Amino acid sequence: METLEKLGIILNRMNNMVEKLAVNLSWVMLLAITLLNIVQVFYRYVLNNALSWSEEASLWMMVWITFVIMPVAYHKGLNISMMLFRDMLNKNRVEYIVRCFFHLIVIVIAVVCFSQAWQMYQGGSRIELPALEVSKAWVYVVMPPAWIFLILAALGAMIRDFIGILDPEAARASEEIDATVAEGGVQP
Amino acid sequence: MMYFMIFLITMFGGLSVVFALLFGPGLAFVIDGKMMFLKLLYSRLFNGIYSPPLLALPFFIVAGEIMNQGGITKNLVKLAQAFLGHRRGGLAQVNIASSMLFAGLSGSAVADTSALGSMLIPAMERNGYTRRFAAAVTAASSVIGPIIPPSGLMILYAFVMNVSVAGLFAAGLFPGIAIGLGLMLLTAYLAKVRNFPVANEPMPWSERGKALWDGIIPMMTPVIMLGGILAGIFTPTEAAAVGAGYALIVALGTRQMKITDIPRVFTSAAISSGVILMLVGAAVSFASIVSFYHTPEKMAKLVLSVSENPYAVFFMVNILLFIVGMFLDAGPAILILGPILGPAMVQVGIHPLHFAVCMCVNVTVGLATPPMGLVLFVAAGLSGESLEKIAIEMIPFLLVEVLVIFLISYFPILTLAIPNWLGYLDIPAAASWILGGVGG
Repeated sequence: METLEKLGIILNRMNNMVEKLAVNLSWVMLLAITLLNIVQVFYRYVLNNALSWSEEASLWMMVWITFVIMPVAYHKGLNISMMLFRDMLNKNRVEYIVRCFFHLIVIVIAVVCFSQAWQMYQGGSRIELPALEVSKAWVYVVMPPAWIFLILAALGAMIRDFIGILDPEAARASEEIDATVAEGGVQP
Repeated sequence: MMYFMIFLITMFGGLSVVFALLFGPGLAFVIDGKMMFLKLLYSRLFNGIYSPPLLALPFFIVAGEIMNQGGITKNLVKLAQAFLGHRRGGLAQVNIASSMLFAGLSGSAVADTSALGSMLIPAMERNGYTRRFAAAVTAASSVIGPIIPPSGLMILYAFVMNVSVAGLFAAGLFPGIAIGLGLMLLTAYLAKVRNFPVANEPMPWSERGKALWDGIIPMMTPVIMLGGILAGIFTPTEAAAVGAGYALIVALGTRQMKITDIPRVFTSAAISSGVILMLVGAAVSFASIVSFYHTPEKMAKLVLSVSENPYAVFFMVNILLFIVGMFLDAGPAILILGPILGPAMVQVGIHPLHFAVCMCVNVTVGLATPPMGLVLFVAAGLSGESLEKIAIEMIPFLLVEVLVIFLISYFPILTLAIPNWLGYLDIPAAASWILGGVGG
């Protein structure tokens, strides 16, 4: 139990670090594509000279934002879920078993997706983005680490919920503290 | 249909929708021994995200986040109060009118409830309304958010079902305004019956003018976005980017946002965008499996085996969507059911744009219905009133919304007239449609 708790704390720290980095990267990229598209409108309508590369660059950053946020969303529990059934279980041992099972499913999905993403990244070096004239691997490169970070986030959550199977009372109390802390929201 | 069963079981069990969408088809492929199709599943996930039409979505979210800043909400409420506050039940009318104005800015029902509810629920209570009524009217009117364009929900539908974003925006105008006016009429009636208070004395025209001036600057955001798209000046992506830029300038210029707020606002928008885009990618991946297994054709056969009458079919589908909306958030409902029901309804003879707008309105109303109504949760949280009491108080408002759903379902002219007038429908088909009623 103690070893598990220690492992959980280490994973949680790692996930918090990933979160901080991801959040900062994502807002900067979102600001960048917003400004880029405003500039693009100016170039197209005022200067009559559209930037050929703006769409490719925007899509590139949009993919990055999506994958960079994916593990953060999981770690923070921000993905949309139907909680009707889970709420009925009222955080008893069965709920923690169900949660662990679902974390396991997410880990399996992430492993399969990692392997597909890796293949895609390797194949991407043979494709060039026509306007930017860089390898498409630069778009794909965010995906393999994102799936690994998702595995870490799911592992961290799984350990926490596994402790919940062993001691539902303690897990419930710790979740309440987490919820109070999380009320401040995700900060950049 | 094994993939669909696995998807439903895991989703209802509580697995995040995004992972349930990937797990259902993935496991079905593994069980069927079609492992090589996992590659297809993943490439569709990526292509679903790496898609130019989707670029508009993060910009709409940015514009909405900026507009959600407190000061802009206050300006809208002031504007509504200047013209409606002196009537009986004035604050309730202000609440509904503010939701209609807010709809053009944020396009999110939840943002609408939390921004307007936090301000208007306590104000209504102080003014003599019951807390449950204040919460109910806030929740009921906030569903207008994703219906009056611009709407993120409609961009999602347009993207997965390949219908025109501009056409869908144009089609959404009537139901959004109809729901708003319907709720206002009902409130006027309730104000008489229950003797609701008057919020304030009629304001002098100079004050009304000032409120209009303060409100009109932020209100230009949807005008730029919608006007630019409908007039064919901007693509939806450009319009959204320009709208976000304008919103940022207004918020900074009017000091409702400081430069130091930019990281917070963009972080929130980036997280929302990331979550939604991943969901879209998973839904596109799921949709490709839906057509791989010919599910829409099977669904159409099933529906037609019950009845071939388009009116009856539309009735059944509306009931199904309403029930789904009670349990599932509007975005996932559209992403999951759009690719299944959309083609099936077209086979029955329903125009794609007509079904699109009916579906968007229906699942949006579901946001305010128990047991899983997101806006209901927010309204309950803000008011401190129980969910059940708000839900009971909301029944008359919900009836108005259901009436609008059936009106737009059975009178396609109501939704298709504006897109047709703007040239988003092929005229002969639309004309026969409008003349021929639901079946076309």
